[in-house]
Amino acid sequence: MTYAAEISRANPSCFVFLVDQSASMNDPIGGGQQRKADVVADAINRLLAELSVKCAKEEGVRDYFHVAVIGYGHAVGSAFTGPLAGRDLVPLSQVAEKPARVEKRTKKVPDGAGGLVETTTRFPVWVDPVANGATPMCRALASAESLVSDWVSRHPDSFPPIVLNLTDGESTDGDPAGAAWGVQTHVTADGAALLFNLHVSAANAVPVTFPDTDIALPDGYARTLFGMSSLLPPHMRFYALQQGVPAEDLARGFVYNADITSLVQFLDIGTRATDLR
Amino acid sequence: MTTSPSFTSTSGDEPTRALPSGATYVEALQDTALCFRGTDLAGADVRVDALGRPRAISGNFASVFSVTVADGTRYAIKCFTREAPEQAARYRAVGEHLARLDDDWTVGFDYVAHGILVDGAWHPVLRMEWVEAVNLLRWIDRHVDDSHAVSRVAERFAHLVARLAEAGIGHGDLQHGNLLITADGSIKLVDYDGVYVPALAGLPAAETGHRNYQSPDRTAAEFGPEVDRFSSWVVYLSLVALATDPSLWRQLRAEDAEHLLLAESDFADPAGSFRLATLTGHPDARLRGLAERFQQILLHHRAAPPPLEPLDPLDGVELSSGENFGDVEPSGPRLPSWMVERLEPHMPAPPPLVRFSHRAPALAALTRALLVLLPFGVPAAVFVDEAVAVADVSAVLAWAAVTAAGYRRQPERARAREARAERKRLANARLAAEAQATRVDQDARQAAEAAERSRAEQDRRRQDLQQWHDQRLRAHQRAVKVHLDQIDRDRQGSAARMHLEEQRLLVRRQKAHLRAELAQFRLATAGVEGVGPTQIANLEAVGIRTAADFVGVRYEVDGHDRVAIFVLADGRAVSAARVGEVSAVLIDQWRERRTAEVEATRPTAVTPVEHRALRIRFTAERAQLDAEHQRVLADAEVRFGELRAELRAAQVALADELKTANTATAHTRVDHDRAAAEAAVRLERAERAAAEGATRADAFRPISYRGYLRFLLTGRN
Repeated sequence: MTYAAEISRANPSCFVFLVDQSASMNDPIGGGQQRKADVVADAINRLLAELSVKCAKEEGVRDYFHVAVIGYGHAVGSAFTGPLAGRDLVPLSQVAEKPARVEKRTKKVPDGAGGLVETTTRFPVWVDPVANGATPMCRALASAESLVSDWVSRHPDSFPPIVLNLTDGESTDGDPAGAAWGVQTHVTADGAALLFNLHVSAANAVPVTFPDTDIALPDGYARTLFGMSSLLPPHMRFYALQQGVPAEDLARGFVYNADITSLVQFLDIGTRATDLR
Repeated sequence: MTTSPSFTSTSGDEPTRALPSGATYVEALQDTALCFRGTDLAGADVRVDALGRPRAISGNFASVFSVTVADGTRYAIKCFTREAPEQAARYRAVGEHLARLDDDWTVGFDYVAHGILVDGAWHPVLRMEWVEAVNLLRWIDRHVDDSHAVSRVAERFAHLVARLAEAGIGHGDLQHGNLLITADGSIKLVDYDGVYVPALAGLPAAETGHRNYQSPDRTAAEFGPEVDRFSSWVVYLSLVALATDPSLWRQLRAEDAEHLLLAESDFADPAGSFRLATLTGHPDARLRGLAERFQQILLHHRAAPPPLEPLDPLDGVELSSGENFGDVEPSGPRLPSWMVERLEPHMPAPPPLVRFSHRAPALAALTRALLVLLPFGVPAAVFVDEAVAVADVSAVLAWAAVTAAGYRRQPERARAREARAERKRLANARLAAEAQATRVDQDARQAAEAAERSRAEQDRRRQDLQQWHDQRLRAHQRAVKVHLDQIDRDRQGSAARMHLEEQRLLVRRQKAHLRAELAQFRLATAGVEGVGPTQIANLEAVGIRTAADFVGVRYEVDGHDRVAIFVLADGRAVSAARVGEVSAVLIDQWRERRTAEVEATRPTAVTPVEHRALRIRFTAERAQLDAEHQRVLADAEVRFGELRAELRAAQVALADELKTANTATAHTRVDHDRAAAEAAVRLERAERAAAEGATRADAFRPISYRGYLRFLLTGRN
């Protein structure tokens, strides 16, 4: 059985986030006013916060994961800002402790009695939006591959590394499919590294979450990214279904203009991997 | 901590919308006036982390937060992140059942359906009393070397298991995180999400527990008071083993591992389990017995294990609730008998030297007599008789035989032999373990090297594939370029031809224009000096009437005269009578002047009709070439797609192949890593056993034949 390894401090796994920081990320996301770069930076910061909460125990955040955030645009390299700037794989406890800053964000939320009320929350920021230069996706994937390859050789028994690529899809340094397959050739005894893709697009098309076919996808970039994405492991599919997201047998870790932070909730820590019922 | 926990549950109209995530709860809890609006928790203080955000303690199904209200009461607020079926009803049933008990392991809770407001929707929370305690793993980390404390927790745990069985309760997830040890050493059992109470009979389990504590055969269908049997064996055996031999804590688990002494893989493959083998092969007989019992359960009753069989009858255990052995030295409360009775303490002090205890008086007398007489024996043999020598030797031999037999009969001598044999065996075992560790290390190194080579080989194959594709792509691009270049040349040729044609037409038109215009300049009316009617008539006779009729004049010598020869428009050469050289020059100058005048007004372009005809002709040609260009590009694109598809197919095939190879490599490496870790522990244990064996054997130092003789002689040893 694959994708069932225990994720623990003694046997941690790793996350590599790839963030598209090319000039095209300045464009607004389809059907919205937000820039793609803002959407993607927000998604990364939420994912990191979510992961930190997921792995928090009595004594603090445990190093169930080591996390890298690689940006690609005018250059390919660590996208962390603040104290973690320049670092690749960082133990999760350090990530949780060292955001670049904690922003106070004010928003209006329902007060439960039919009205709206303003409330302030502290929002940790590790990655700032950047939009500058070309889209060297192949180089970014190669960079992820080298981290993954190194990880599996040091942790051959771990839950396989997860690479999550957040992009608008328009690779400028060649067909990313080969580099994508390269990432997925690295395996632990528990299975091959997983490559998931979040496609943020300026096109105003219907959002898609974990499809099992590329027929409904609006363009060639989306289809290429779909083809590059790993199949969702069974237990992740189970949790997707539990959250009301229809994820078929051949559903892939691909999301088009939709939320990806739910991915963190798909991770099993401690308990036995849940079987599909 | 309250002394009488309460258990309540408000009505169970559970929300149907998806539950918030852990981080979403963290956001909501930053404004407790809002998220707990209308409840007594409104405005309460939430414990925060270093970033000033609510600090979570998360499990797979929920995150728990510490919330303190104005009067100082502290609660644990559990926020659910994954749906649990019939949650409210379960908590109600559990609460009602626990309320009837008077047990100190319980923690009070309220299930509040409208517990927390997140993004405008109410979600349930579980409000629990806050317990000051540490979970079992952290407690063991701190107290593992205090065998007494560990053994008492083992006792209390066995007691807890018995209480649960009596009360008909199944916790469902007995594990280190849910077993909390308070400062006074009592055990609190928390997390009642998966608890079974009789009122829930017939439902499936809400969860199937921590992987390192559950039978691999457990399913959600099993939900009853027996649900904790397997995990109670796991916990109890681990605690007994640690009380017996604290070094197992470090030897059988990685630092920070989330299990006690046994884990999922040991339950799945008991026959291949090193950890289980270490316990069943332990020198301590009672631990060994308990471990063997659990091994039997794993092999034969894994799906339906028997109840826990504690080492002591439980009714003999008294647990004084006032005793404090959290961080304070224990002050002599009674130990479980299996601890008291343990024959081999963990680190034995060197045993006292063993001495001979039984001296046969006859043998002692004989030895003394012989010692006195022997000095006389040799001179007697030399000076008295050879027979005396024979007697001497016989006597000595007989004495030697008798004392040797006496030595062999000594009970200490048998024990010494045993201890020495054991020392040798353990020393050999240590050598074997050493050799094994070296071999395993070598294997692991070789495996790592092989993996490295295979990685380089895989890189090469991927590069080869990419090169193969690049070459094909370049060849394709070259062929396309050649074709497109040809079309470009054809286009240029076509454009050049059109230009030429246009020029030709223009020249023709200009010539026609010139002739037509020049034809209007009649020589007769030109008034050229010296050209009278006679000459005009003569010129007309040879065909020259206008400036258009000739194109030039040349001169030929005829004897002494130069004759003017007119070149006609059709190229013929004529001469006119009485037109001399001088007149001819003037006529030609007239023609040139007229020509210059006419040329100034000549047309500079072809006629629109001609132009249209030309354009139609060449546009068709051009369109054909453009179409071909488009076709070549489209074909190239199709072919490019094909090449890419072929590359992707080849990449997928290669990736699958590499994945298979790498999976085998990963398994090999895992096996080697495990073997190396196990060999290291085996060596460590063999070294300790050998050292202990040597110490035990050293206690028999006085037990030797020589020592025996001395003992016979002096009575001392």
